[in-house]
Amino acid sequence: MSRLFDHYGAEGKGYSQPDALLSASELNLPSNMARKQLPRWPRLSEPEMVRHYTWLSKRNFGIDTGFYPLGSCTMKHNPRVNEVVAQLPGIADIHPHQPEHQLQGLLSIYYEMQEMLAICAGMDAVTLQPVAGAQGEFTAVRCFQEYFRHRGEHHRTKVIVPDSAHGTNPASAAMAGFEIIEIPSQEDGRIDLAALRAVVGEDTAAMMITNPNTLGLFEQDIAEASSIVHDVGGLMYYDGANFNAILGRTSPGLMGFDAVHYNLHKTFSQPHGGGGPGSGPIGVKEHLAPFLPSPIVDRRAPSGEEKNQAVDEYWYTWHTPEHTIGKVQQWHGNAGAVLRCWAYYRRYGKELRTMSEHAVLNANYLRHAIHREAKAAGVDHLFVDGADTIVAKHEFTLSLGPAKESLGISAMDVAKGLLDMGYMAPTVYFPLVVPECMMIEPTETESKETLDTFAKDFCKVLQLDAETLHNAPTTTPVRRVDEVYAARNLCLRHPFDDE
Amino acid sequence: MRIGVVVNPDAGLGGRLGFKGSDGRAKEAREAGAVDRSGPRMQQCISKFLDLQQSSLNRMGVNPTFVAWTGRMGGDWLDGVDYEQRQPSPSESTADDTAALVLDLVTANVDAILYAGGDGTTRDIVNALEGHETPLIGVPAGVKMHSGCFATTPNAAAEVLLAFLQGDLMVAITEVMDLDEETYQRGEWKVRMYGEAWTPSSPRFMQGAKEQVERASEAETIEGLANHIGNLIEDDPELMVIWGSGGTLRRMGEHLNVELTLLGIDIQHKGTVYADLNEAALLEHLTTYDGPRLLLLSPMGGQGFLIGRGNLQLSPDVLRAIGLDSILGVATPSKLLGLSSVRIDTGDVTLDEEFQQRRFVKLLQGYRTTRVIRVLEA
Ligand SMILES: Cc1ncc(COP(=O)(O)O)c(C=O)c1O
Repeated sequence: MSRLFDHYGAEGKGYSQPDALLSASELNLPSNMARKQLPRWPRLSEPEMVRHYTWLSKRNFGIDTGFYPLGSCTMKHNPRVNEVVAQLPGIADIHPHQPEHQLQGLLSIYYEMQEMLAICAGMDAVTLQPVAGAQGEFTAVRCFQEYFRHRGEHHRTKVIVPDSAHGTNPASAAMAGFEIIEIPSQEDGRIDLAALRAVVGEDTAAMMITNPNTLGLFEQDIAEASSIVHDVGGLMYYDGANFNAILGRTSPGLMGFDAVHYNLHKTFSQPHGGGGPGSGPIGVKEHLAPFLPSPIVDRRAPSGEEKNQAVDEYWYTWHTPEHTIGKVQQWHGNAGAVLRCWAYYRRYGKELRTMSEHAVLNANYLRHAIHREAKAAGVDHLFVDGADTIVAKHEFTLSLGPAKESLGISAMDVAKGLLDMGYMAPTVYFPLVVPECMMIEPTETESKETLDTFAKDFCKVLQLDAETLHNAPTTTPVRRVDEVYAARNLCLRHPFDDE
Repeated sequence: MRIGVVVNPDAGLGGRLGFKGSDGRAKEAREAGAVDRSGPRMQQCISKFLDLQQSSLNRMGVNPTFVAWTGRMGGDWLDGVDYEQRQPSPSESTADDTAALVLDLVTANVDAILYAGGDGTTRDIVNALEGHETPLIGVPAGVKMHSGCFATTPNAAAEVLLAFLQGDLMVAITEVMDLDEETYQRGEWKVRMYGEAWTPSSPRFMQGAKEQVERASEAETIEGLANHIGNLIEDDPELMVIWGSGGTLRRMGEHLNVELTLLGIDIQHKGTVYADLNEAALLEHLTTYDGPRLLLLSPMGGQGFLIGRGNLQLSPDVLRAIGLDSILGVATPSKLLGLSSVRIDTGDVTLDEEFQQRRFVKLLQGYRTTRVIRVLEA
C-alpha cells in the first residue's frame, strides 16, 4: 500500500496558496452546502509527492515498460513527437472560451483532422466532439434517430447487432431509445446473412457492426449486408475500433456504411487505458451531416480585418449544422487527444497505409510463430485458433478450451502466467463467442524479435502445471486479484483508521 | 451453509433393462440383475467435491455442513464426510420416504438440497417442497433426466455446488419435466412439464466486454421482460396475448397483475384472462377474433424445446390459427446460457418444416432486447 495517507495529520503542509479573496462568511453559502469537516488531504511536500507517483509508476505496467498485446484495445506505441506538438505553448495554453479570432491555428488543425478522417473512412462530414468510441456510437445513433424523425419514419425503432459485438454497441443504441435485436454469428464467426435477412424489416433503424470483426476476421459479406439493410430503408453503422487493420486499404464508405466512429486513441496513437482521455469522432455520409452535434469547424474566405490573421488564406469558424442533435460534450471534445493524433497523422500521412499493413503482418506472423513454437514445445494440443481462417487481420483469437478440458488450465490462468513472464496479458474472454478466448493484438510497432520471444514465452507458460498457473502471478506487485470479490465489494475511497 | 442430501437408491435401476423409469419396479429390476446407480453417483459427486474443496478453486474456503439420513438414502454414500445425522433410512423406500426425507431436511433448515435420481425423484422432491424455494442440485442418476435442475455429470454437480457455496451462482427457476403418463399409456413418448424448481444455474458475474460485470438477478430480468410485454399491450390494447406455461411466464404475469396458470395455456385479452384453456377453447378464441395476437413461450427444461414439450393444447391447428409470425420466445439469461438453438416438435411434419424453413425464431431476452436463435433441424 502507498504510504501517502500516513502523512495525514503530520505537522504543516506541503503547499502554499494565496489567501482567499472572500472569506467563507462573505461568500454567504447556504449552510447545507458548506463542508462540515476539512478534507482529509495528506500533507506532503513536493518531493514526497514526486516519490509517491514515481513509486506508483514503478508498480504499473504500460506499453512503455513492455509488450502489450491487448486485443481489441490497440495499445500501440505513442510517438513522443505527439507530445511535443500538444505541449506547444500556443496550443497548451489556450482556453476554450477564447474568441474565434484567437483560435485560428487550433481551428485549422481541427478542420484538417475533420477532412483527413472523412477521407480515410470514405465519409462526407466529421465531428470531433465525442470523447470515446462508445460516445461516438451514441452520437451517431442519435443522428440516425433525428434523420428518421425528419423523414417521418418514426416506426424505425430496432437496431441489429451481431452477438460478437462489443457491449457498447447495444448499450449505445438502447440509451438512445432503440430496441435491440441480436443475431447469431456463423460457426466461423462471420456475419450470418440468413439471420440478418430474417430480422430486417420496415422497423429496422440500423445495423451496428465492426469490420474486421471482434474475432479479427474481415467480413467478406459486408457489402451484401449493407444492401440488405439499405433495401429495407435502414442505416449501417461502422464501429471503428478495428480501423487499424484497414486504414488506407479500404474504407467503411466503400463497404456501404452511413456512419462510423474512430477511436482516435486506438488508430491514431494517443495514450489510453485506465479511463484516460480518449477521442471518438464520428464521420457520416452527406444525408446525415445536417444532424451532427454542434459545433464543427467550417472555413471560408477571410474578409476585412480577418485577412491579417488568416491561416493559409482561410478563416475558420465554429459552425452549427442545420438540424443538429445539440451538444454531446463540453467545449470542443478532448482537444489534447485530437492534437496528438493530428501530429501522428502529419508525421505519417499516406504512410498510414503501411502502418495498417504492418499491424496485420505482425498479427499474422505472431499467430504462426505461436503455432510453430507450440509444436516445437509439444503444447500445440492445448489450444486452437478461435476462428478458422488462413489470414487474420490486425488481431487474432486463440481458444484455450482444450487446456481447460484436459488440464483445468483456463485462459485466465495463462493470462496470469504471462504476467509473470513480464508481459501485459492479452484480452481474455472476449469475444464471448469463443470459449476460453484469448485475443492477441501485437500492433505494428513491435519487432520480429519481440514477437518471437513472446511466442516462445507463451509456450513456456503452457508447459507449467495447473496448480502453478492457478496461483500465478507471483512476481507482480499485486497477486491474483479476485475480480468477483472486487466487483462485489467496491472500495472507492481511502478507508481511514478512525472511521 | 447447510446442504441436505437426498438419494433415491432405486433411481436408475430400470435404465439398462429398458424400463421407462424405476418407480415401483425396483425389486423387479434388482432381481433381473440391475446394480445400484444413484448411490455410487452421489458418492462420486461428493468425492469430487471434497477434492475441489481442498484445491485453490475454493477461494472462499467454504466448508458446508451436510445433513442426511443415515443408510441407503444418504449416509451410505457420504464417504469421508462428517455429516449431521438425522434418522436411519428405511430398508426399502418409496416416493413417500423421499418426501419425508425432504420435509425433514426443510425442518433442519438446509440452504440447498443435493440429490441423486431422475425425473421421478425430482417430481417427488418438488411435490414435497410444496412451494419452499429451496434450491435443488441434481446429480443425474435416473432413467429420464429432462428436468432443468440436473447437472450434466456427477462431477459437474460438485462444481455447481462449490460455485453455489461461494456465492458465484444465482438461483433461477427451471422446469420439472417428465414423461406424460397418459400419452405413454397410448404408446407415445411425450415429455411435459410437471412443476417448477429453483436451481443455482446462472453465474452472478459474467465476463462482459473485457471486464467482470454483475448480472441482473432473475427477478430483475423477469420484471424487464414483463414491462416489455406490458408496453406492447399499452401500445395496442387490442393485442391478444396467449401465455404458454412455465414459471418465467407466470412470474411475468404477476408483474402485470394477471394471474396465470403454471402448467396451462392462458389467454389475456382486453383486460380479461381466460385461464387454462384446452385446444377447443383456444381455437374458439382464435377464430372469433382476427386482430393482433402474440404467443409467448418459454423454452422448456435443459434441451431447449420451445414447442413440443407437453402443451398438447398447443396443437398444430392452434399454432396455425395463431400464425408463425406471432410467436415470441421468452428466455432469461440463465436459460440462454446453455442454449444455442431451440427445438420445435409440433407433432405435424409440415408445420415443423415451416418452422425450419424460417431457420430462426425470436426470443425476448430482456426489456426491449430480442435475439434470434436457430431452430434446430429435426
Ligand atoms: C469493438 C469495440 N467497439 C467499441 C469500443 C468502445 O470504444 P471506447 O473504449 O473508445 O469507448 C471498444 C473498446 O475497446 C471495442 O473494442
